[in-house]
Amino acid sequence: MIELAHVSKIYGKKQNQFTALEGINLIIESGKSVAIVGKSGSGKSTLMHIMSGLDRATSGTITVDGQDISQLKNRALDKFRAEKIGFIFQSFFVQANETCLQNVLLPLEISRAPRSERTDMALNALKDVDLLEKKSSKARDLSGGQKQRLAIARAIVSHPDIIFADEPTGNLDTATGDKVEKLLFDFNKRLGSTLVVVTHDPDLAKKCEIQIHMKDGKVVKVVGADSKKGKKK
Amino acid sequence: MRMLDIIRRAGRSLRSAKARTLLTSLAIAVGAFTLTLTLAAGNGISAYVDRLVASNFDPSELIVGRDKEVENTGAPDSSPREYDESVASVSFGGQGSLQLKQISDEDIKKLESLSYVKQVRPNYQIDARYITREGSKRYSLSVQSYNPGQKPELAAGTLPSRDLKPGTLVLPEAYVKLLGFKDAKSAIGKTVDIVTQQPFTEEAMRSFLASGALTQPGAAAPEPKRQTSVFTIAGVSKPSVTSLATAGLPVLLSSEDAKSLYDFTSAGTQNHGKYLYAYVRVDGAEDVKVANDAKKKLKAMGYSVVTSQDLQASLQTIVAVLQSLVAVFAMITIIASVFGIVNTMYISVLERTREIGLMKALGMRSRSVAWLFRIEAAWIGFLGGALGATVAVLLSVAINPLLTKQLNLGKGNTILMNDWGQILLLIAALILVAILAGWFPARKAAKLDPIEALRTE
Repeated sequence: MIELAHVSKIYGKKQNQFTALEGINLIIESGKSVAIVGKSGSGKSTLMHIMSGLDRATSGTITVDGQDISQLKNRALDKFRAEKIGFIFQSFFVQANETCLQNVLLPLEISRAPRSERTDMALNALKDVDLLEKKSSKARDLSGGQKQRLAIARAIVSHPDIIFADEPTGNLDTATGDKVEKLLFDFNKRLGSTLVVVTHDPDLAKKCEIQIHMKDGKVVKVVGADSKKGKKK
Repeated sequence: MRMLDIIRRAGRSLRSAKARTLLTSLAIAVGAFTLTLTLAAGNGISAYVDRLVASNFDPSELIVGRDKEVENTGAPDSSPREYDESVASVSFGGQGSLQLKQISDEDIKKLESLSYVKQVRPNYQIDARYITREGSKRYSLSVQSYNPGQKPELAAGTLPSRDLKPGTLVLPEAYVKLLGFKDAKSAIGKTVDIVTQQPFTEEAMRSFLASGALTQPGAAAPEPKRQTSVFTIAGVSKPSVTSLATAGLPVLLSSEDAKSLYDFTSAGTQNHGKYLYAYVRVDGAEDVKVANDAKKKLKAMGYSVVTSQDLQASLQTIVAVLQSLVAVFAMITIIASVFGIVNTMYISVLERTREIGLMKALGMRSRSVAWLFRIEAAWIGFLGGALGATVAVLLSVAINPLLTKQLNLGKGNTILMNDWGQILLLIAALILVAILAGWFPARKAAKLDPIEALRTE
């Protein structure tokens, strides 16, 4: 469960101050799929960065599975991201000069997974995204869709509790985008990982159980949360 | 991230930029090459010096003198000494002379009476005029007394284990043909004449003046007294490969003959019965401890003492100074290459901003990121060091025979001696230098904000 209480993020100082987030209160139940939607500059990326421990809030508390990550030291926050969070970015950020297998091994090396299990875990993740036969190919030789699938494999390989996807289909055509979306929702259901998607795309947003609408650094509307939250209770 | 994974990743990212890696490490390789050769030359020369000293100076003999100049291996102190009977002048060609306190016959007796002294051999300054033989020309020569602890290499003949038999000598090979022998072997057992000359003594002058010869025009000047001694050739010596090459070999006489020649040539001069130094043989002085012990005791008696270790040390100092001069230039090369590494690493950090951002986003610690780049620099240092050292080793193996021949060192002497321990240490030092060079670029990488880094296009 992700809980945000009175979270604000202010950039700059004094006259140049810019409020990116203002008094955000949110609760996201574990295992849900959530879309954060809004125009450019609405603060949706900042919100994602703060929830994922990539960035720090100026004020407020962020509690993930009972742990207040706003209080964590840098090292502990790095560990938190390495163990609990998977990231998927719009521009993939795969290491072009490395093989697919090496790309997927990176998070396992970072989280110091036991050496004997690493390769098996990585191969499984590649199998899940249907890239097993490409394991020894350099990432630069992959198509855009394949690169994003590789990024997904990298994100899920250490079985994170939460997967953050920042415009995961933004650089893909509709057909490949659909395949990527399908994979993401599949993992969300199958592994029970919470999926948080930041997107412009209303179609993608609609496929999520909850839509959080943002405008000028504030949450203006949350669709789907209350009813389902009620059910769970 | 574990260090092993970091090292592997660093190696991989270097391999993906092969040309840049190679060029940067070439700069280090130049320094490593120079340093390896310098170290090898230092090893070779110092081993050569050791052998040189061992074959030219008997380690069981101490050089004992009265003047502190005996111990001085640097520029001599030419200031005048307070006069006493023991001061005598030693001239050095046209470069003036030194007034030095000498060791006297009395000192020799005193030294001989010491319990730990086995033998005392004064350094006789024998002024022989020439050596000749019936039917051959006259040739100049230098004469020294024979030291059984330091046998010369022989071309023919045999040498006794103790002193030479009086009336025999060891002839340097160079004189064999000059004196009309067919070869070294045929010279053994034959005789040669050594002619010495006595300087004018006070009495000789006085009797010359008393004869009134000066006032008589056309009267012959007095002839100096000359003496011809006949010696049998017991051995023919040849230069050893490690002899101090510039000086010709001396004719060696028994100490008895050396003394009698010396007494004759110095009779009546102020140098008579005085020696610049004497060779004092001490039991077991091959052992540095024994030698230093004896040295201490003799110094307490007011003598100046040089052991063969001292000689060795002073020669080694010269070698070390030359070696460090070359090493300084090699260091400068390495310093220059450090800037190359810094530059390369900064470029690497810039090129991989997004990769760094991603790794940090995935939870890689800043310290691990920094080490990733430091290890990358270390790899460059290792590559350069290994490359330079390998080329230097190959080169020294290739040119050693040539150098030995060109420098006339004799078989078995090599000037470039590579020591694996030294080379490994050198490479380790270069790796360390490279890591230090990569320090600031690595810190820059570690400090990157992942969000900013991922935003970079």
